Amino acid sequence: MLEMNNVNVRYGKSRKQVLNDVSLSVHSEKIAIVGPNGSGKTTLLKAVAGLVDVNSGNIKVFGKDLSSIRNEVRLSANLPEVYRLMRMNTADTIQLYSELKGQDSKEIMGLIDDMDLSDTLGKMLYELSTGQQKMICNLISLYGSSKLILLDEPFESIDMRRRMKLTDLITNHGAEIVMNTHEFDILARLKGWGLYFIIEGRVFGKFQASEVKNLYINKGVVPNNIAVMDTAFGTFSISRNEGEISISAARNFNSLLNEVA
Amino acid sequence: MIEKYFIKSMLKNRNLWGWGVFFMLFWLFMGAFVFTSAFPKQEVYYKLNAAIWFGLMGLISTSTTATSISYSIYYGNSSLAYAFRYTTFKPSGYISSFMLSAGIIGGVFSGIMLVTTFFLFSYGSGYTLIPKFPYISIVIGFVAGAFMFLLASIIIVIFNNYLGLRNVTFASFIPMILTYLFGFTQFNSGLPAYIVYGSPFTDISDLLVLSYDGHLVPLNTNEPIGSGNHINPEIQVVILAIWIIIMAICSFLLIKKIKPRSIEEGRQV
Repeated sequence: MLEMNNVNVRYGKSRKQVLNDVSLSVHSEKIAIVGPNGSGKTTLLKAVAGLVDVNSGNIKVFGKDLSSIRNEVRLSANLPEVYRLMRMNTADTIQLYSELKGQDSKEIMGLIDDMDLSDTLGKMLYELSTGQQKMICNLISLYGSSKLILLDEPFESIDMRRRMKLTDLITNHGAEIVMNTHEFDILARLKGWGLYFIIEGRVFGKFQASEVKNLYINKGVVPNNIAVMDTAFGTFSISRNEGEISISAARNFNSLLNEVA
Repeated sequence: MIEKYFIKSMLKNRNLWGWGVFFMLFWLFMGAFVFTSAFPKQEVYYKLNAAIWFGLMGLISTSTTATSISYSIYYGNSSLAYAFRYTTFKPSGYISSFMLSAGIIGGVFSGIMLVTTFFLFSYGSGYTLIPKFPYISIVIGFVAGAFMFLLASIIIVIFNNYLGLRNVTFASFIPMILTYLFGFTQFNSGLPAYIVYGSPFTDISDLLVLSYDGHLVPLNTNEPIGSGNHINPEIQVVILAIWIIIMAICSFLLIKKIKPRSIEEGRQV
């Protein structure tokens, strides 16, 4: 259970606004957050994980304010900086985080084997390829009894065979999931998932991931729109069933924005 | 049993072995065979000389663990913030586990320094310079390791949370700089009694010297043996214990509020 109310995050000396009045709630569901690179997707997950300072607004996880959360084992995340507690190989990292979550590591070892990642166990996390690192972080966050899982670009740099298995693992998981992606091809497979768009730190939605094939993006405000997005690129609107450019036809959000702009 | 991961990680750290052990062994060799001509050629002086070298190198050896620990906390700042929030890990558990691990490493390093000092200085002097209280040397090595963890954690979290990570390299070397400052000034130029007693660095090195030599350590080691005042080890033990308790409390208060920072902030060039 996740509640975000009017969350603002600014970074760096320039105080660049990365999250802009973000409000979001997740109750017994899975949601995908889609947006171009640099739109604030990862920052949103980091804010929930407590890895960035929230300037204003509030975040509640399982009904508790983020600032007061301690030893809450029902949330997990695939963010790589979470798994750098000390200099360890992959096997020890898995073992340690299993112990810290109070879980048995047998289940994840089975998943590692199933994903043909056994050869990574003796290596340091930084010695793994980007895709292998991502898979290990995905699997650590997905196994066990977590009730809310934060997945940041879980398919990035993952080969097609593992991508299929990972999709099954994510879609069949019983937990609430908040998943970031900038790829559209995966959305059609996310039946029953909520869908949000994020652009320049502002969240738009909620839509249904499975209806992405019926969604269109238009330059300017069209009469039958279901959402209007004011961005630095201009104003766009989203419409159902008809419009300028089909969202599902685009490979990812970056190309979509370039095309429509 | 998170200690096993800390200990394994530290024992597999080649930098720690290089600077914390092998570099110290090099200086013990120099002490045994090169810097030996400035005192009377009597066993009692040879033994005090060996004990002082052991005390200094034992102290400096454990201070190198502080540098490694600083980097471990710096690289793990986000992981710690996350782990305290979303795993069963607690700041008190982190501090006690790391203190225990650093203490064990300190004890191991102290044991290595002790054995090496015995062989090198005995061979170099022609006397059999057996350490008087070797088990106390190990215990003091353990305490020194735990102390260095607390010092490193306090300094690095202050930089991480409040002063910025641009100076993280300097911050990681502060324990070693203080170690060299107090260690060398005491045995080479002498320090006022209040500093000798009040500084945890001199407390550690003096207790190591005492454990090897078996006699009370002169307040001024440049004076002939028996001609000056001696250091009271009981007072040093009490002061060291007070330092450790105060630092453990400070470390706990700081670690529990550790802020996640990008490790890129520490990039120098």
